[in-house]
Amino acid sequence: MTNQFRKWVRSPRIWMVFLLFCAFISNCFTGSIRIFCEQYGVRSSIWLLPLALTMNNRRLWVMLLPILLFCDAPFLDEQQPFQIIRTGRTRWAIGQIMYILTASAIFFIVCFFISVVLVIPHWEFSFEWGKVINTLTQSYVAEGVGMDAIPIEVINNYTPIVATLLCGGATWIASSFIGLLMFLCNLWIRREAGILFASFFVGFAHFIEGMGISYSAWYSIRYISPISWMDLSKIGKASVSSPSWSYVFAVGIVLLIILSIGILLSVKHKSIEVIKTI
Amino acid sequence: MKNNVIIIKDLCKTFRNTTVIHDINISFEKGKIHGIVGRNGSGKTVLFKCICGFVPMTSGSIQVKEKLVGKDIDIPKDMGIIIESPGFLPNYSGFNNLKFLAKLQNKISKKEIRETMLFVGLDPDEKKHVEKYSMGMRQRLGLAQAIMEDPDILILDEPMNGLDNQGVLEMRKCLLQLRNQGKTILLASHSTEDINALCDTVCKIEDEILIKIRGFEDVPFH
Repeated sequence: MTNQFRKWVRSPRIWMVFLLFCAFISNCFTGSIRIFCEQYGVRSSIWLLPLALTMNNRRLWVMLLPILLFCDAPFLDEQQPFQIIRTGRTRWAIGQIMYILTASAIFFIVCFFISVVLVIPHWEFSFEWGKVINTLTQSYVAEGVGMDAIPIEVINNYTPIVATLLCGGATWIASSFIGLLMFLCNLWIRREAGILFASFFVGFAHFIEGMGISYSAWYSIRYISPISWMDLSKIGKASVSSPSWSYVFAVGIVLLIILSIGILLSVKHKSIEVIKTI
Repeated sequence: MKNNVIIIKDLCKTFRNTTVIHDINISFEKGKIHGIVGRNGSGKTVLFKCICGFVPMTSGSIQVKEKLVGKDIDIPKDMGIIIESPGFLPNYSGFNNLKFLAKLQNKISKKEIRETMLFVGLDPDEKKHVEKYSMGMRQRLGLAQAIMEDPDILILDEPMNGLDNQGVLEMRKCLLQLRNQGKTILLASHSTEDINALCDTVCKIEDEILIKIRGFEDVPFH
């Protein structure tokens, strides 16, 4: 697992993920907040990421990044045969699964810190949502700085720390799900297949939020769309028909366990073929 | 025979509709260098990958040190390999690369890693990153990773690739020393000179079939 992280420094793909996230969040979210702060001479709290991820378009772009991060799964570069001969297939596959789970957690933590760094000139440290965020729940104010209104449900239902932790947990599940799904698909079919399946789930979450489908169908489909679970405005206390947080975490973890078992069983019977890294 | 560390019976490997190796029966005796020759794409690497447990067999069996590959064990223990071009972390020194690999088994200390590097003609104190290594240095590092944990069996696919004449001579010397220490070495090479200079037995893969050329009990000379 640690060897995979050692490759990050020299991986153009990892740098691309980092820079794209900075660009997305800066252009699509924190940029608007900075403009607002500059216009009114106020300071914003740092708890922006869970709110940014309630916005469908932002979530779509952010969730494409784990696809880019894990598209190489099972990461069979030229060094891997040297590792497999020492560890055996099962231990090696456990290492790769642990890498995906850990990298997903790091992905959220880095995203959070980037979202903080990008508002630094106008930030204030507080455990409250703060005046700026509360004001931006008013749609006419948000429109004034070119962004969607921040969902009031999130502000009302969660404290910033709880929202960040829940969003972090859901993002970890969604990102790990994407990584493990690609690992399994790439093992069984070929590398392109993993990207296709993962993109389907990310696109599906975007589709069900963006398309005008009936209210009841809309809520029930969300139960089977792990990427949608990152949206705090639609999960938990948002509505009685929404998936609860206990559902999200229980089903999410069961899903990750099933995918991991699938990988461990599959890896025993598949050829170890070196594939050039992207 | 008790001295045979690798016993291959009726081995076939087919990829979709293409048969790569067919009905291979051969045993490799302990403490010898066994050469395998054949054209590019003849199936040498596939045979090696089957022995390592990297590629599942279509039919037949491979026994390594009395354990059936794919049944008793996924990957044979106590085996060092160079298959295809050796890959390392480019932004670390050779020593660090070996240290990271050694940590996976925790069988050897830094001292053994240093000794192995010196044995293959590399300087363990060299700070240069592997990305700046020449092809020959990478091959030496590849051999070092294969032998550092003192495995009984070495599977070496074209280990002389990219070496200059001096490098080839030094590599040959290393391999002969390893054989004298009792290692069993399977060596694939294009070079007839290398095969003649090193190998106790030679076989050839041609048209999917393995032909024993020399050194086997049933084919002493051909």
